[in-house]
Amino acid sequence: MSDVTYLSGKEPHEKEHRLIFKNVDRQGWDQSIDRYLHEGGYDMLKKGLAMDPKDVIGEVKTSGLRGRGGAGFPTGVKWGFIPPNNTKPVYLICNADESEPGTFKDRYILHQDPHQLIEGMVISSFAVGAHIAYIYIREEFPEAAITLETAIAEARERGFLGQNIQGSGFDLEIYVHRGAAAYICGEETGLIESLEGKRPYPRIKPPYFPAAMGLYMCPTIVNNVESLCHVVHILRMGGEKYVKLGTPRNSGTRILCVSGDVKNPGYFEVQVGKVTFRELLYEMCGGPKDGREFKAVIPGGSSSKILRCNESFKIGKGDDAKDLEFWDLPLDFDTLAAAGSMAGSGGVIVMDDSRKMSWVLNNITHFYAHESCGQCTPCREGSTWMAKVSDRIADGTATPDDVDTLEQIAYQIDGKTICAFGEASAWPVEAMIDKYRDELVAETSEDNRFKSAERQEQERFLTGKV
Amino acid sequence: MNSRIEDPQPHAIDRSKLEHLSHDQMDEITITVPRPKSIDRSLVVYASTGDAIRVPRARRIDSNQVERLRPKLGVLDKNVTSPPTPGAQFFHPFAVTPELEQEAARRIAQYPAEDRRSAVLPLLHAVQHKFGFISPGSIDWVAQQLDIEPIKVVEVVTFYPGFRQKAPGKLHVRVCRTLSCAMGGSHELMDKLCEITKIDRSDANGHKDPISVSPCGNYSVEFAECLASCGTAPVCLVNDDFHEDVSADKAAALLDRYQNA
Repeated sequence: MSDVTYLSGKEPHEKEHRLIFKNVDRQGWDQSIDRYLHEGGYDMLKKGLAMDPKDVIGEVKTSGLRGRGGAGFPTGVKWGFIPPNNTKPVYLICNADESEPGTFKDRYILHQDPHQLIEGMVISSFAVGAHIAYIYIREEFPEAAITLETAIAEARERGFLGQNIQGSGFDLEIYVHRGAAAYICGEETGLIESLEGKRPYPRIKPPYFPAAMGLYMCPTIVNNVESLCHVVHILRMGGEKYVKLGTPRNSGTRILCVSGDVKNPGYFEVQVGKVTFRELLYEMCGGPKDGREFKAVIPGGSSSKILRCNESFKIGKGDDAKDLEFWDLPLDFDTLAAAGSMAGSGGVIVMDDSRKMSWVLNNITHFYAHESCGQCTPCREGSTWMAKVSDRIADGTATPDDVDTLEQIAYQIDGKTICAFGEASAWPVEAMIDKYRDELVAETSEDNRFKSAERQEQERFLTGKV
Repeated sequence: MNSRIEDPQPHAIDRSKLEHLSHDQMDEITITVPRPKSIDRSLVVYASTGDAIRVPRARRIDSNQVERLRPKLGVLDKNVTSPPTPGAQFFHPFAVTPELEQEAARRIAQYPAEDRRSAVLPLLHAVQHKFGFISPGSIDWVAQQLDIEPIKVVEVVTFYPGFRQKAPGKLHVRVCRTLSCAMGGSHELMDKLCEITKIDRSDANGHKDPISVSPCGNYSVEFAECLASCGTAPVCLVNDDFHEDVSADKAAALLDRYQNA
């Protein structure tokens, strides 16, 4: 629509393609239901409820929508996992725990366009047969929790929620459930445990796949905020048309959140795979800060593997294989996976040449040490040790073999834990050491070997000399 | 020498049955030993002599005695107490009010009746919002509302960083510590806030006790992990209000905005 204008300084870049973020930072926009209805809001809800639930799932499958929370799992396929002979109640949970460092897309949807999410949730609940849906929202969004509850009350009043929605015979209640500042609640089974009122210790899979044994041991679908909003647009455009956005196997749009050392950080909704790092960081974000050069980029939230800006990658297999410089990599799920990292949650963190990698590594390891839930040993102990060893490297009291020790700890966690947090904490460390080993080793010194109090104590014990 | 043998009838292997087997066959033999139907736990057999005697069952210990044996401050108690802070003057001590009960009923109704334990987080949020922190009395109240053991509430309170067990200041500032904000200067912001409010953060412990309160009780600070606004770093939360682009030089202005609050 040509009459859509945005707040000054918030205008979309010409390479953007706004679906989800159409109303974010828009001039004259507010969160009220009247404003949303004025723009054709809740029309898709009516269209969806008139369809057969199987057809709604079919449209989402056709659209090729991949989950926007981090793993990139096809949403339609996930919905299809509910056992066909199920007799228990089905639950839909919206994962609004957005806690991956570097990601801040859901914040804008929850604060500025809550009805888009509610509409997406009603359609999705109808498709999977849920009559109760929960929005698990992080505790750090107190204002958004209130905004959502107000929006839910408005939608109920207008008959878009509650009993017999729009005369379709379909009932749905949506409740807001606030978390309490724990990163692990973003993991879907951890989230479910938390919603059950327990410590969010993730469940082991198999057997506890949420689609079969989720909330209260009933089939449960957990989707990210952005994924649920996409459902509205899939219904509007039709799966066939939606799948044409983006690139094959990476359809639709996604919101990239850029933060760190760029001139204009912020959010950019682009067609998946249609924008390269060069376009994103130089054209859309205005390039590096004055007098600086880009050094490294974390492409999909802090748990994705860091990429060097001067690397090149071999992408594709067989005859299609081609060498791509870092700058020419498109930001889609498959390319970034082929480059050894991941598209994750779309949180792009940029570092320029003023950043010491030991400091960055230290910051990240402390995050994971703080957020490890403590359920299984490799992660609980490993993340704490990674933080301790990286402390030494960062403050210059490490020996060169501390870097090897750190790497060893990371590989001891990777693949040996109940949930993906193990990988999330180990990958950044593995990649950082893989790509910046020389820089890290340069900050260590052989002279430190006997300087620390523990080392001296150990020496005294071993040799008997004081 | 005496020892307790739970199975008074050892099962001897009948060697005569084994003698005609070759060595290869011997390897494959599995001997199944029938388990006794029930073990008489009061029976003690002296291994040296084979004598068996019956021992009377242990008497129940007087409950008063147990009370005397227990250390004054157990592990659990330590996790339940709320250490006093200068901020406590700004918060009412925990008391069950009609509004709180109303809020609890509304929250509990959001979950299936048999799964009311789900409401533990919402109830704790309600308590913390009203009384500033989670006190031992409020833990008991939440447990009672949900018909669960208090330990199930304690385990939740001690796990989540979002619940605090001591009074913060009147203004509680949570500064984001994670990568993008740290790059944007959140450590400098924290130092500046501490300088203005005369807070000593040297005792702050990221895990167990992250909150530091100013001597006057007006302010408290805490480093939080990712507040999800990395594009506008550094960011912080003051009570429930979110503030973005708060560089260290804006710290004083930020606190001034709350002067009359």
